[in-house]
Amino acid sequence: MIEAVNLTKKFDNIVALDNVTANIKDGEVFGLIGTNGAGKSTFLRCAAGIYKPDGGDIKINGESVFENKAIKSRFFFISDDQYFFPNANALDMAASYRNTYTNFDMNRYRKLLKEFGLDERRKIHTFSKGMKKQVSIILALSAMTEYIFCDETFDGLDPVMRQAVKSLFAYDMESRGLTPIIASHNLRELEDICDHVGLLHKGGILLSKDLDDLKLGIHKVQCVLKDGMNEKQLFGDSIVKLERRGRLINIILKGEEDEIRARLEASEPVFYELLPLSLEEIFITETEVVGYDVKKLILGESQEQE
Amino acid sequence: MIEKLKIKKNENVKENLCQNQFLAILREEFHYNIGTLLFGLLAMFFNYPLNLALRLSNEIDRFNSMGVDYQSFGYTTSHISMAEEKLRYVMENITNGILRGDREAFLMIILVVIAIISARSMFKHLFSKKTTDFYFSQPVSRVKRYMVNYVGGLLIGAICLTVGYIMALLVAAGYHVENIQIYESIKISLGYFVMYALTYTISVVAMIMTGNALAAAGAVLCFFFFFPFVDAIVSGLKAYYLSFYVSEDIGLIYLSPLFIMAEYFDGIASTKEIPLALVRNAGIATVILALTGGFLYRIRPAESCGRAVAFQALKRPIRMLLSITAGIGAMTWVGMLYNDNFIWTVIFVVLGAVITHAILEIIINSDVRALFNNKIEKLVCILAAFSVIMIFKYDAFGYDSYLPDESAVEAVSMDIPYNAFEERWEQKRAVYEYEHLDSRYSDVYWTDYPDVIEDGLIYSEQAIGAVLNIGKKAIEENNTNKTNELEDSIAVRVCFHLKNGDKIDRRYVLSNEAMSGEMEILFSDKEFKTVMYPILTEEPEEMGSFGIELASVSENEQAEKNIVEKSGEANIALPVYPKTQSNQVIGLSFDKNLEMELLDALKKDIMNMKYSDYEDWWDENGYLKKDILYYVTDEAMKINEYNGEDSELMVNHADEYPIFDSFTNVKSVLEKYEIK
Repeated sequence: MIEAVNLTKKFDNIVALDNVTANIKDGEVFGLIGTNGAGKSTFLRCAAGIYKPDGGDIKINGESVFENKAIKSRFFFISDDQYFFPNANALDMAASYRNTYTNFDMNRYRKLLKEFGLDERRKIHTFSKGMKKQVSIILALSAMTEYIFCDETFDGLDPVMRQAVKSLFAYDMESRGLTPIIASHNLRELEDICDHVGLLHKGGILLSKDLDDLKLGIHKVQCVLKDGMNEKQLFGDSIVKLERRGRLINIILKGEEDEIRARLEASEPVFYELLPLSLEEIFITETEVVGYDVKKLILGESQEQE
Repeated sequence: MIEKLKIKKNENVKENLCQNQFLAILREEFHYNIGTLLFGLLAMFFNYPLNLALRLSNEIDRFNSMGVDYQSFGYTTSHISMAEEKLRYVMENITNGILRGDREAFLMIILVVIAIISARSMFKHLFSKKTTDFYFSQPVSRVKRYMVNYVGGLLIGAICLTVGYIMALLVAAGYHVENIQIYESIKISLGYFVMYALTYTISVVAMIMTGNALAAAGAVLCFFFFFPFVDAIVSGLKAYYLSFYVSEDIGLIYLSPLFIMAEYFDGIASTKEIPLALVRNAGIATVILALTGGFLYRIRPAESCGRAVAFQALKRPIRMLLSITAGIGAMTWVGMLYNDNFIWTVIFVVLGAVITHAILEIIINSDVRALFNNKIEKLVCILAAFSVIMIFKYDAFGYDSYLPDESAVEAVSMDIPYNAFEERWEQKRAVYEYEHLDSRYSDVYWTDYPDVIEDGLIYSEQAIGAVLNIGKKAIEENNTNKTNELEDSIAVRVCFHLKNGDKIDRRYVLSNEAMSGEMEILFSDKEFKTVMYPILTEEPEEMGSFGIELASVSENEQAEKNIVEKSGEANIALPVYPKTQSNQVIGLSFDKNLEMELLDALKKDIMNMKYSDYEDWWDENGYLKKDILYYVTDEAMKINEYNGEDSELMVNHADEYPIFDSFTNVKSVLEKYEIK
């Protein structure tokens, strides 16, 4: 298990992580999502032992990560811009990682390269961005570590390759208990694979929940209420977001589905529909609550122009 | 396709390929930094084998062309064999010289360049986020990573030196050079490696303390030149503001690897021996710096990549230290040279400190607009630079006013500025050593000749008291007349050797009249005379030759001055020369009795000489007013140019004394032998 306890990291006067506490259970896919500059990459780099925390700690199975060779051998970090030796080919990179990851499986590596259609002797600097990502992922999977930290790894992969990678992750999770931690903006992709999500905003963690629980706890209601009915009277403080289009009301509210449905039916609305929220919608809703609202940005700019 | 990718667990093959991780990673680093190694080998190729082959080839070509001449002039076979032997000797000299690195400035430059490039190659991963992520996320401790990279850079230097040396040996073998001093030159080369290691290690520390190439280059320059610069500034301030300052070796230049390396090269070239203390100290410094580098590497924040300064806490101290130094330096080296008016002092201090601070802000922040940052810090730097200058200007540490207590002084030594005598010690023990047979390769090696301040100790209480009085008077004069120059002044170098081992070195400036009393006391002191005039301790059998340099003769003065040089029974009358700066010199060693009597007479006259007997013997136009009696003692080893002896040794004492009016004994002897 990976535990972050009051994890704090600063860069000069900028607080990149501010007392972040999170638990990442083994055997689950943890999705790390967040706004731009939220601290996702910083969190991953602290978890990978690249950065030393300024406060708090991050531990794997109870041991601090920083400068802990034994713990570091249990994970593989895929950076958003992975480094390859100049003029190295895929085999050269594997040879390098074999020096540091004792469980590196060369056979698997060569097989995966072949299946992905990558020439193992071709210089990596001649690969496209997506091909380089593929090499990184294959290296990570072949290192046979317990954890893989992926920073924006799925970006640059075509849809077929994404599915392939997801499938491989799923297989390794089942066969050897791999725990992937994936940071990404591509919430639609994460939604398919993640079991647990952590939402970071401005260095702090807004939420950390199982994806199913997250979705169960927040719903979108489209409804037309009877005259004289007020949505606030109906739902009170559980309303997260409200949008009117004439008499049609779009409400995002927290709560159990059964309870919401019961209240709606009790109010005998003209029309209602309970809709599931996508992870993207949950992300936007949650960040709007804390002021990260695109409408404000756009409206603010247009008001300035006026 | 997805189905095919699934690999059953029991098909995984584990291979333990990291039998020795250190060596494996080291091999990998070498592989990816092969360019640096190749550059070093190429440079060594030019320095060692190519250089050697070129010079040996030149000698052979010269010999071959001379061989034709020998035959055409009818020289005998023995002449030719002598020339062949000479050629062999010269080729041996050239080979040993190159293997030893004698006067090979190119070798020093190569070593410095390779050291800097190796440090950059091995530690450039600290400058990029990509490489930092790559290296620091892997299960390799930072200490191990540092050791691998550090050792890699050392190995590059070692390999380059070794391969270059071996290539030179092969070239020498190809030219059939014999008597190669392999053992000696290997020992010297080990010293070169230590110097390389020191330079490399300092460059590594510079890389670790910075985060980009520009800042790293600046850091390397700082480490190489900062302390010599401070040394020069301190010396300059002392020389300018302190009235009695005597130039001394502060020693800060030895905190620069460049100067240490230059000292090593110079030591090898001038003394032919390895300066072991220098190598030992350089080795110790290398180890300490390497450990420091490892510590810094371990604590270095990974996020420092791309920044100018890796450790944020060092930003302010670095800015301030360099700005203050630059402010003082600007005043010392520009203000003093052009205008020492106080206003200009202020201007140069401000300019030096502010401009340096602004440049550093730009480098640290990578933003030109940052040059106006930290205004208060700039002001503090200006004030600090001023404070340092004022400390020297007003002699806050009491350098000029200090005089040791008489009870604490064990001995004194002096150097008095009388033209006839100022060179006496300099020529007392000059040792010349020639590489003979080929004057183009002759080397002159000087031993550390005796220094009157270091070796001419005077223990008598009378002399010590007189010298202390001179000091006291000079201090009083200085306190009332704050100028370094006085009318009719004489500068006297004095050293008080204290009983606790300390030495107080001063250069006192006083008018001749003010110190005439003390000088008379000194001139009446036998120990003083013995120290100041080496001829008093010369033995007759050591005497080589005497001679006289005649004073210039005015056309309006004595019409004729007949000089008779006796050579056997022949009397040779020499003509009169008009006033000229090129004076006639006459050897007097034709008669050993004359020499012995002259020696005896000179000793007596010097012992009887008073300070007031001293007269100027050069006029205002630079013409000699007095006859000068000079002597040389010499002892030459037998030289046989072609018998295999390879050195000519001469121990030379030379001195010259004007024949003052009070030198009655000398004049009597000259008159006796009709030399007038």
